[in-house]
Amino acid sequence: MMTSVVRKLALMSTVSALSALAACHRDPPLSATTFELHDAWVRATPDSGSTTAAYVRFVNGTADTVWVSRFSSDDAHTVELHQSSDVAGEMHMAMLDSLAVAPNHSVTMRPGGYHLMLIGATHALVPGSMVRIVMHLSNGAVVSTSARVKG
Amino acid sequence: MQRFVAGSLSRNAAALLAASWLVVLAAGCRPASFHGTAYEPPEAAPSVVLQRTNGAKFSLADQRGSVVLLYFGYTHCPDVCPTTLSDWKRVKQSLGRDASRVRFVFISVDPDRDDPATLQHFVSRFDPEFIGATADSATLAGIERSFHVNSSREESASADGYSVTHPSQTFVVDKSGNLRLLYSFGMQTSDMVSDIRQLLRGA
Repeated sequence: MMTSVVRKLALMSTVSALSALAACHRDPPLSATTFELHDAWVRATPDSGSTTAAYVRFVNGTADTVWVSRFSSDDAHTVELHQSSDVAGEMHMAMLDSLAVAPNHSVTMRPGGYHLMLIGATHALVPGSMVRIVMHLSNGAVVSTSARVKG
Repeated sequence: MQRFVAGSLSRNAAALLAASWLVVLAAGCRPASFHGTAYEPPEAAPSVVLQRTNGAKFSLADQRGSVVLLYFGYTHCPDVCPTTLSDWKRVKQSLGRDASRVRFVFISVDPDRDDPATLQHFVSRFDPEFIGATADSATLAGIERSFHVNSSREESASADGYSVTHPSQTFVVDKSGNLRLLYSFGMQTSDMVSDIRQLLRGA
């Protein structure tokens, strides 16, 4: 009986570890039937010309993989897609061309992972204000989201 | 008779249970139970002598009596460095008056771009009392070696220029100048506050 409990615990911890691992990269499927952008936010910056980061949750409820690319905003000179990754205690950052969102999956940008780099803010981005971010989808659509500025 | 044995067994079981709870409670009350990764045993922190943004010298050896948080980053870092400093800001706010005995030190490993004014402006965005400090590349390389970490410039096609690969952890030095804890990126701020309070109490 003890062995069975231990086995169950081991299985449970393996399952939760695997779920945690999966959550790092892909959120569980949601009930959307279209491609949607949610919970966008930008870290505040007090200076015009400075660089900051924005984070968006992409939900792909369609039957096809959607690649998201060519980001822009009226509030920054340039918007680029980057990925931070912690490799054995070293934080690396890589610039990416596009982000793939699998069918019926979502991808959540968050600090320490995927993020949008807003380079050359055209003005101070103050907490509470909104920044519109535009992006192109591989199905030809051009979509945008309003990201709330947070301190 | 049967009833007597059963009673004695249950009394033994109760005693065993009580004893095991005492062990659990004692373990839970151990002073050195930290959320961060602990240096076991603690080791003397390496010498760190840097230039502060106001031109003054920053020496880790001069910080005895304070808990010191050290992070190696750079101001062009748009994601993890502002996140770390933002977390520190919350930690400092939660510490209240205890924060006066804590030093938050952001070490720029990008001295080519992070001149004193740029570095000061960056750390002040989060808290004017955060310390921005740096040194020439050779001095920084020596400090990194002594902490067993590394940073390196990575060329990039980004409009923001090169990026810098840098350590992701925060190093925590206790009041006696010993390296005590490592915080991985994304550590809960409430856990950091709890650990720092323990170190301030002399854990």
